[in-house]
Amino acid sequence: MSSEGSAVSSRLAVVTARQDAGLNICLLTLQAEDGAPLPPATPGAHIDVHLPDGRSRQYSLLSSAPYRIAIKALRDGRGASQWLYDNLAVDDLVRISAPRNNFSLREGATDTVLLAGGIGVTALLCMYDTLSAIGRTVSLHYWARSQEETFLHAELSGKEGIHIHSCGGRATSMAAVMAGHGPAADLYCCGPERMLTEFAILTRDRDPQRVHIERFEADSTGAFPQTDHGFTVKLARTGTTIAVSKNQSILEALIQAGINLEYSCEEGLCGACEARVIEGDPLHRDSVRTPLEHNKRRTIMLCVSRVRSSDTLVLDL
Amino acid sequence: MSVKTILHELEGCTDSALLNDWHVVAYSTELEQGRLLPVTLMERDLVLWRSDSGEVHAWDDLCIHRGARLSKGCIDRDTVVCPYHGWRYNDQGNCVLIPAAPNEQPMKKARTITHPVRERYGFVWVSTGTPEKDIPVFPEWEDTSYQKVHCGPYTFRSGYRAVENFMDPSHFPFVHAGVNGIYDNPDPIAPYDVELTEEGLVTSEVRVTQPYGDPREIPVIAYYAYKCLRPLVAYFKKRLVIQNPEDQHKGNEDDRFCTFLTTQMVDQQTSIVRICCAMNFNPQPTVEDVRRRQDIVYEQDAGIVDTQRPERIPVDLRQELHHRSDLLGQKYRKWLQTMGITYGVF
Ligand code: FES
Ligand code: FES
Ligand SMILES: [Fe+2]
Repeated sequence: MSSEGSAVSSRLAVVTARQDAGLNICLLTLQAEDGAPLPPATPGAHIDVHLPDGRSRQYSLLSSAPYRIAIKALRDGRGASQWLYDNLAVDDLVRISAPRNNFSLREGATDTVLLAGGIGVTALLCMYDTLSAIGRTVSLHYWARSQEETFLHAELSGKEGIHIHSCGGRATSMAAVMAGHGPAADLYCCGPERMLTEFAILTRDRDPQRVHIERFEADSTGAFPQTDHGFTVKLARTGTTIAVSKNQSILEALIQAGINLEYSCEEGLCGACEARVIEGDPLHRDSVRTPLEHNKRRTIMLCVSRVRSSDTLVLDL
Repeated sequence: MSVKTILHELEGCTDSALLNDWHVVAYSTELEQGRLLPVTLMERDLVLWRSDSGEVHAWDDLCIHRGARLSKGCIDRDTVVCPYHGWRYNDQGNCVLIPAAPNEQPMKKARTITHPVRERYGFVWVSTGTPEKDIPVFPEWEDTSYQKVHCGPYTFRSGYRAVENFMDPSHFPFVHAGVNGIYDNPDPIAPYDVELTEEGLVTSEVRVTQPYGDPREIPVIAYYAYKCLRPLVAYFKKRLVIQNPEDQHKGNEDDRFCTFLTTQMVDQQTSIVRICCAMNFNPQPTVEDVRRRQDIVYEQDAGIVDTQRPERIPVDLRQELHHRSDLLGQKYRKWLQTMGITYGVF
């Protein structure tokens, strides 16, 4: 789940400024140690920030010259953000990766709507700046829990096209915002899983080319790794071991082996074939639950999920 | 043939999970004193009556003497009189008079076949086995801030399909277009959770848009939280948020509308649904308004649910095609299967 930092493209950077930017949020400016410019980045790009203990975490670039990133102490168990928030001060050195972008901006769009939830706003602000600078129609809707938890509240609330939905009560819904934008609009969403799920549902009928999602949570780096390989499944209750070939689903292999199972859609859409994982590192490909939720519950959908490595998957069956 | 064999032949359902559960077979108000009410529960014919003590009794609708239907007889001086040879049974089910031998003490075996019965939430609950649990809880029943309105009875073919339909929000825009949903703009159903608890299957809230979602007849966003309490008893509590700013004064944040739904399986293909609605609106709608709307909705439901085939619900999920938005239905079927229910299922 933690990204393997590629040593080649990583470098040390110096924290040249640190500013409070909201409750438990700090804004850091980073520059190359030797003062040379850091590699250029396009709006929507992120970098990995490496911790001394080998962990790393992704942060969106708010601007690329200089690099600016926002860190929110998430108290998320992994604690990487918490650590950075607590420890990074001006003049400290941190190791960062080269910028990557899975979320690039269509600058030619006539109407761009940016939908941000919580600290996810950091992935969208650079897009907002770029589009406004070139005079495109852009609106940024930002849902924050409260005014004090809003990132750069004072600065953002005055800007044209920025709508902050924060102060309690009945906030405008994402559906209501989207209703005001026709099929020609380009929509970008970055926020917590719940929001992304709702976004995915609300945009189901839109042109996929115009719908853009950035997952900023720890373990999602975009598309499914397309590394299909065979592996073995072990059924803990009976001790049976079953080989799953490269072209077969776990469900198919188990049925073939004569195991009686529940299933219905065979496409990862219904949830009927859910099983519990006792051991192994599954790769989730269903749309019933998010990978994060699956990992929390230790579940998989037998009809579409696979294994990350060629390891054995031990199931509670 | 012994009596036992005859009874065995008359018995439809043999699933202990159903037999040892409580089933609603009437509204309390149907049982006026002096009336013998015949009902059928899972093919077993019963007669209900209320004795002078005020208690309700549920017996097999069968005289031990020659098997005539007691419900065709009458009640006289707090005893049930069999229409055939006039044997009389008191409220304990004991025969107290055989008119052909008026001075003899009737034999000890001259008893009706009695069943546990309770009145709760304005319904009459019967079990033809030994109930393992108490009647499920209807939390708003005791809460006086909720007005209670009984509606129905509504006839459905499959009782389970009726229960599953009750817990299915994705049919609203189609079956209840203009009332509980919008045909041209159906709500996507966001993922929700279903948990199996002590109480039964419990869901997190499911959000839907309702142009006319409750008796106030104004557009609302409704959040349904469902509970499937027993194989044939379900419940929802919906939270209502009024959509139009100009209608806000017609309600407030605590507005809730609940429905407690019971199903009597007459046989594997005939069921009777009885419901009790509970709401805490201010002002409260009239009883007529509540019933009018429920009558429309349940008639629309039955119109479609009764076309589902097979009538007996398939509990093996491989038999129909499910989607994650049907999660509660899937869990429901699975639950029936785990309970070992075979009656009325496929
Ligand atoms: S069979 Fe539907 S999710 Fe696997
Ligand atoms: S659409 Fe569901 S039964 Fe036909
Ligand atoms: Fe319905």
